[in-house]
Amino acid sequence: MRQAKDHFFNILEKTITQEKDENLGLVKEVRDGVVMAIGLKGAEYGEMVEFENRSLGQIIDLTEEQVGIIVLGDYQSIESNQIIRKKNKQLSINVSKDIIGRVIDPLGNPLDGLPNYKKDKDYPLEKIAPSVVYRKPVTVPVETGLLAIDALIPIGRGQRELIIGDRGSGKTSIAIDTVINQKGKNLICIYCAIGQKASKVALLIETLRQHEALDHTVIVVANASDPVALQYLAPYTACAIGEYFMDQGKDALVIYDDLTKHAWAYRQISLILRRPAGREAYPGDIFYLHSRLLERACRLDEKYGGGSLTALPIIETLEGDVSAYIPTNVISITDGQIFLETDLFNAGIRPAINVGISVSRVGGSAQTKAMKQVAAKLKLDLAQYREMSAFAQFESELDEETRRFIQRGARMTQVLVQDLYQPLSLAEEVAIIWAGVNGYLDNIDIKKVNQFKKEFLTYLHTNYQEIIDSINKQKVLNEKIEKSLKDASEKFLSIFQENI
Amino acid sequence: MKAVTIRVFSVYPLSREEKDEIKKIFQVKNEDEIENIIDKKLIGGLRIIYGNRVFDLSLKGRLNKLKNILYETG
Repeated sequence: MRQAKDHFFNILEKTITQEKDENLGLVKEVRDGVVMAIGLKGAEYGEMVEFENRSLGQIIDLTEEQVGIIVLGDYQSIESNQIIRKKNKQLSINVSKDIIGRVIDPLGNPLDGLPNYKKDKDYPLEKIAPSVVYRKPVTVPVETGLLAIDALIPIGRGQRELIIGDRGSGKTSIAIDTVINQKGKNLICIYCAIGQKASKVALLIETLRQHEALDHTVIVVANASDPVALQYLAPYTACAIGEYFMDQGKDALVIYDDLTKHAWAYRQISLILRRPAGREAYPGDIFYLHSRLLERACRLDEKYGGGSLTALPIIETLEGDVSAYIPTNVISITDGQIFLETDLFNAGIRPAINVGISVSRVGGSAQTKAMKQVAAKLKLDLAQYREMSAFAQFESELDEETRRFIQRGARMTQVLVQDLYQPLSLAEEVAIIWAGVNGYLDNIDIKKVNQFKKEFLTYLHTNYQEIIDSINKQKVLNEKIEKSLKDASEKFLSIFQENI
Repeated sequence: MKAVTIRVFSVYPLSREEKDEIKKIFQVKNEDEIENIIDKKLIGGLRIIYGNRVFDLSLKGRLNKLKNILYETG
C-alpha cells in the first residue's frame, strides 16, 4: 500500500515537472450547447477539443478566467468536472474527391448510410480569404439554365450573387435548377442546408437524384434539430469543401440555404456566451460572420491554379422587408442580388424574379457573346415595358408605338417564364430570346407564348439541330446562324399560326 | 474567502500524509491552499487543478483513454 502510494506520487511529480503537454481542461458549466471550461493551458481561438463522451467542441470564447466551447454533438451527457482534451489543431474537415455525391454533416460524417469517404487533405473551416494578388476578374459564366438570370442578371464563376425573397417564393428552386443544369459543365456544386426541415432536405436530395445531379454535387446538412453549433459551422464546412476543389484548379459553386437561419444560430450562441446584443439582438460581429464567409468566394489567377468558388447565398425576408438587419448586411456584401416576389409568383411568373430591381454587379463581362447580342435588346424592351406598363389599362387610348412596347414587353415577360427543373441550354435560350426581340411573338396571343416556346424548341431540335449545335459550340451569333434562325422562325411561325 | 491555489478531486478525503506530499510537489506551504473535493466517479486516483493546468491521474481518465484507443482502432 505504502509502495503504491509512493509510486503514484512519483508519477504525479513527473507529470508536473516534465510539463507533458497534454493540456487538459475541466468542465465548469454546461449551458445550451455551450460549455464553459477551466484549465486548457495555451488554448487558441477556433481550436478543436474533445469531451469525455467523445463529442467534439470548438473554442469560441477566451476570457481571463475561463474558456467558452461550442459542443458539436451531444451536449446533454456532458457533466461538470469532466475532462476536456485539447486536440492542438484548428477545427477542420478532411476532404477528398470521393466526397462528391455524398450527404454529410458539418464534421464530415456521412448522413446517407454509406461508409466514410476516403480522406485526402485537411481543410480548416475558418480560413482567411485569398488576397487581391491571388485574384482575377470574373469572366466565365455560370450557366444557370434559367432564361431570366442568364440573360438579364448573369452570374460569373467566382461571383457572389444573393437570392432573396419571402418564404415560398422559389428561392431554393432557382438554386436547384442551377445545380441540375451543371451536368457535364465542369462545375462542382455544394449545397449547404442550414437549419432546414429534414423533410425538405430529403425531398431535395431525391429531386437531385432523379435529375442525375448528385454526380457533381456535395450536400452538407445541419437540420433544424441539430445543435446550433453545427448549424453555425455548416456554411464554413461547405466553403472549405469548395476551396479544396478550387485549389485543384476546378470550379466550384456553393449554395448557402439560408443565411438567415445561420444568423439566428450565431445569435443564439452569442447570447448564451453573454456577449452584448445589438440591433435585433444580433451580436456586434454578425456582419463579419457573413463577410468573412462570402469573401472566400473568388476566381484565382492562372498562376495560382485558376480555380474558382462561386457563392449563392440565400436570404429569407419577412413580408418583402429587405431593409431588415441581415438582408441589408448580405446585400452589401454580395456582388448583386436576385429579388423574388410573392406577387409575381402568384401571378404565375415563375421564377418570380423582379428583373427591375435585381442586379448583377459583374454583369455583361460574365456573359457569352451570343447571349450578350440578344440580351441587350431584351433589356431595353423590358425597361420600356416597365415604364409604360402603368398605362396598360388605357390600352385603347394609347398611340400605336406605346401599345407596341406594352405588347412586346408583356410577351417578353411571358418568355422568361420557365417550368421547374427544366433548365435550358445556351442555344435554346439564345434562340427563344432572338425570336422574341425580333418580333416573331408579337402576333401570338399572350396565353400561347409558353406553348410557342416549347414547340419552337422541339421544332428547332428536330429540323435545325445544326443551329443549336453551332451556337452551343461557337457561343456567338454570326450572320450565317442568324440567317438560318430567321429562316427557321419564319417557317415555324407559319406552321404555328395555321394550327391555332 | 481563503485563497485556494490547488483543487484536488479524490474518491476519499485526502489523509494528512497525502496532503503533505501534494504540498511538497507543488511547493506550497499553507494547507489552506489545497481544496479537497470528493468525486466518487473518479473510481480511483486523483484529478488536480493547479492554475490553468489540469492533471488527470484518475482511474476513470485511464479507462477513458483506453476507450478512445479501442474506438479509434476498432
